[in-house]
Amino acid sequence: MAGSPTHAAVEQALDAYRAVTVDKLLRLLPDREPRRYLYDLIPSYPTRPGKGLRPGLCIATCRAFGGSTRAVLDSAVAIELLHNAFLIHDDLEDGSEFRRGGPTLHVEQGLPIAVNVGDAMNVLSIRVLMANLTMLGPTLTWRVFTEIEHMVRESVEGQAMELGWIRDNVVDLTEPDYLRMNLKKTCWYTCIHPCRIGALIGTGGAIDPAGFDRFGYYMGAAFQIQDDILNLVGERSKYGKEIGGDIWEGKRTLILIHLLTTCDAQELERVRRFLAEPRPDRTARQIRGVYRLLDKYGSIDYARTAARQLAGAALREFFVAYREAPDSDDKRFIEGVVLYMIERDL
Amino acid sequence: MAGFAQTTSRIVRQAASILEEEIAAGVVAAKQVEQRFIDVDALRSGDPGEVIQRFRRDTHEVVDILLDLAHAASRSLGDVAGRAVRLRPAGIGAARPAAKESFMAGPSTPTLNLPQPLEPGGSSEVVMNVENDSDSPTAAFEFHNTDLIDQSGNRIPADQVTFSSESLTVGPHQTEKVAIRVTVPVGTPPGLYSGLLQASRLDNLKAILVIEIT
Repeated sequence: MAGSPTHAAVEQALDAYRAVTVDKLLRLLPDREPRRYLYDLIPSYPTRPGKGLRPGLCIATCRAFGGSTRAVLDSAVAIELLHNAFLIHDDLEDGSEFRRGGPTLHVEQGLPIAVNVGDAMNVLSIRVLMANLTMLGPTLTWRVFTEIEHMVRESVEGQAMELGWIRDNVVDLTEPDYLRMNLKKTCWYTCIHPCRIGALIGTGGAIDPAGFDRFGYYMGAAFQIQDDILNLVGERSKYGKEIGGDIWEGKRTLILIHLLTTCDAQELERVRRFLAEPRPDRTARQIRGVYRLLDKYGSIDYARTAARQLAGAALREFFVAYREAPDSDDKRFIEGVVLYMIERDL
Repeated sequence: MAGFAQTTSRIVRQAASILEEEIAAGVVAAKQVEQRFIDVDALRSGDPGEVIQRFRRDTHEVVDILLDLAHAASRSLGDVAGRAVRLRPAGIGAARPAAKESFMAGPSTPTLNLPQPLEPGGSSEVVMNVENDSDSPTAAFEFHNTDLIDQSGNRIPADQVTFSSESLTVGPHQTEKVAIRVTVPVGTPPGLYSGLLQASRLDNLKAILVIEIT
């Protein structure tokens, strides 16, 4: 097999997978009223600059196992719709103001309209999945349905865990707590299920999708930890969200949990009091204080090491999960995207 | 990176343990859900009406609308296929095809399965009976067929399928046999391929040809 693709090649492939997905997504939108308050707003997030990791993994895995883009595209579009619906609601729940280089939808359009656009994207994903019936037949369509149902359920459960920790100011969290939340909130829908669905469709249902669980989990966990690092130290022009936003929001990232479990009692109490305050009451001075503690205890470097270790484990699992797939550009893309995800700066 | 991939660490071991716990919990939950809502085996082998009913019970009301249309369409196909001249796999008395396949094309469209899986480069044939239950002979007709495709969209070209009789006429209350031969091109990916056979001049005379490539 040829060597791993360069980051430029991975980005080029991601762009291609994303382009075909977004193109299909836009063509599926109903051409009807209400346009101004609903259908014209649905393309807002999908057409902003983004990585397109989820449809990329789904399409590439399907093709790597012999399937066609056409066979898997509706499922990839459904995942992308659900992802963007999740982002709209996530931005509301977090009070975020920037997403992918622009104002969040609720800042731009107001809260009620934004909530409804998210709801509409969820509903439209059902319609797209129904279209699988003619292409994949009833059995495989149903299997994809069950994959999606599990994916969405895990995501909302993981989101509930994180939101609950923030609301109740839970600070006695450990690394396993974070890993479980990350698995549920992010990994199932970012990596595991896109790969499982792609492989199921690519093989006509012949493959055991459980073979992709470890690969997807390690990769998704590495991806999320890298995302959390970029949130603190990235460039806003590349990252697309406000830098330090996770600290303003009190998100229980691996970085924050490392700090909470390593700092002394006095510092812990100071951080706990900071996290207990409502977001609007937090000050830039407090944020700088948290940054100093993260630096003192090497929490960001700790997370960076963890992300690399998880990416290494993902790469090891890649060679197991994809061993039956012949060499192809799609397979090489998946191998390359593992490292890309932890070395990216956006 | 190869060495890096071989290393292990505490966080990876923790992650592996959590994944196993969550999957175990998920399997239990899924079993409970299956028992409540879904009989998977029945879903996969049941007749088309039952499959549709299960979809109807288990999914959102929005899905109902499409399924109603699908059900109506398949019922309509079955009505058309119930006319006097019909196809049957040779040696099989029951006109009802396997339910799993029949859902795809309508309840009364028969399925012709090649008896054994084939390898690329191989060839095999299946014989079908053309029955005329009416009191008058059919006009002369011939068979046409589509490409065979699998679920990934791979194709066996239509001209790889040949018929033992180029033109056929079936007398009143008579049965004629037609052998259908499929030659699989070298390099055809494994999969379950299917395509439509259709008689000229007789809209209702059609069947689904199914072949497994290993």
